[in-house]
Amino acid sequence: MNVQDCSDRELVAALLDGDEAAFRMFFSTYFPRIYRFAVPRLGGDAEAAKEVVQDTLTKAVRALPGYRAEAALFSWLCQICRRQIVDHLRASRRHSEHIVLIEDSPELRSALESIEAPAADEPQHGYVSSETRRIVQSVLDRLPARYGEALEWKYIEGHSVEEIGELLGVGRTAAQSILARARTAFREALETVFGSTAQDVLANLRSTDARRPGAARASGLRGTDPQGIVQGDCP
Amino acid sequence: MNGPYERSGPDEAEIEALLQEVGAREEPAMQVAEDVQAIVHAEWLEVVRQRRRRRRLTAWSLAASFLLVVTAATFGLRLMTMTAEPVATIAYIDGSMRAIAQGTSGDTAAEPSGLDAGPGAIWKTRAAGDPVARGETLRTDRRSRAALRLGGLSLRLDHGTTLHVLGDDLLALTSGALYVDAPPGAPDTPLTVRTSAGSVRHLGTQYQVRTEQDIAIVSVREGRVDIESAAGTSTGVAGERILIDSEGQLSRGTISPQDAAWSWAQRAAPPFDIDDRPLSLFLSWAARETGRELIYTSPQARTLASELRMRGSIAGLDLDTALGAVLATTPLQRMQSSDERIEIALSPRQ
Repeated sequence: MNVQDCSDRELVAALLDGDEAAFRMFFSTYFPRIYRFAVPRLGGDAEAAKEVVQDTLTKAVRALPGYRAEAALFSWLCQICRRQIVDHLRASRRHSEHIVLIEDSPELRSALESIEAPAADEPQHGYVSSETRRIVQSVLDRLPARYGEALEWKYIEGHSVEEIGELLGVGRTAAQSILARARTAFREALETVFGSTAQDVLANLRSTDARRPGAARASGLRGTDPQGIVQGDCP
Repeated sequence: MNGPYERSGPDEAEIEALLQEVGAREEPAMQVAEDVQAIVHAEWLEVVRQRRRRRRLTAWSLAASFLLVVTAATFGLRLMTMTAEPVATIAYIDGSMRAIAQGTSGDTAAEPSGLDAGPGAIWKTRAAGDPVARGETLRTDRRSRAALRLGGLSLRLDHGTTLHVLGDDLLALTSGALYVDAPPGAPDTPLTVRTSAGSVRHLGTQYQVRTEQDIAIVSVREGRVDIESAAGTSTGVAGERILIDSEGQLSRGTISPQDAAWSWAQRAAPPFDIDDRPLSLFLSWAARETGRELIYTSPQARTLASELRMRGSIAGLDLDTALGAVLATTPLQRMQSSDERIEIALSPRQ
């Protein structure tokens, strides 16, 4: 199955038909994103995130027959995940540890969820650098298809267009086209969320940040922290 | 590996600079992905099978459902003409649990949302310590769990579970999940759990049965179970996860004793009362609840654990936090070795 040509509705239809390739595509595309969505909202608890994400995706596959593509599939999964997070926090009686992230503010959440249909400007002012980084990564998670991965492969990991084509299962020309569409989608998403260009977002980031991103990255998501606690910088 | 690429304008450089400044998104650990994928894939297969199955009816599921209704109705009828015989006790409820008790008085308040009792059903709110009578139907809502004591067995009911108590050795599960634990040393208590897909008889073990419509999933944590379905009789052993489809066909997978799929049962466990009890008992309970092996690194550590008596309460603490809190007050410590064991040693200061 070529995910680049597959809408959310088509992917869900293929899943309900029992297409194994569709399941692999669904899981590889959405599991990491939902996991990244859950971890900071559970205070960095990797064990809890695993349980919550597992519950989210099992409930999602059961609810697939009712998916009507009124929202993007990722937004739909996030809604399910939010309910699972609330249930988990209730069950573990950790209300006082419920992390509220700036991306969950109604205005920003609306902007993030409307990335596929850019609307009003949103100011980027007032975010500290850690928030900006996390929001940019949330933007990548919300881009359609594998655009986020394609951008990271090219501009962070330095893969060639041919290598990106191999990773996506397409030819060189198609990979170039995907990268062009990914850049456009990313630029438009930044405008929607921050009301700024990539250059302005970067300038704002550098002006409020004294740390390099690599040093701030915690190891909890790799499962090396035995307590499963990530010492992050959530507000 | 770096390679040449074509630039399409200055904004590409801006995007590259921004992404390098932000850094790559974190990826979940591969083992986490594999574990979750296995569970989700199994659930997805069920959904697909159910959709295919809805295109045809099977004689087995119809007969089993009919038998379930007749059996439950028969026991219900007997209740109206004889005193209900208690066969179990409610050990713990997290949230709320209701029961149908035919022929007895009870609350006739509006149905809790999400339950489908049918017209005329009388629901009674249950509490920890209440007896459970033969013929009762127990239900937890989608946010509640409960634990029962039936003979020597500890039973746990997950969210959204409907359990018919047909006898002191016979239960019928029509929705949700049931976890069965036969601790070492407990009185031998035979038990069969029926679902519309098949029946499960335990042989001294820990296992759970989850059912949804006419499919059942049997996961065995310890020991083994006998499974009877339209396709015949089979055995499930520790580490197996067995899906029984609507035609009684079995498909087997694996599940580790520490898999996250077991964690709900630990959350539904009655709180462990540590007051004036030996530490070793608490450690054994903690290991059993989490499917881990309890290991003492030295005879001295084992002796000390059996001699130390605890005071206080761990109510409201999750198990790992409780372990840490209790051990912090003793000369023992937990070694961080693996997820499969709880390793107890003397603290370095000893």
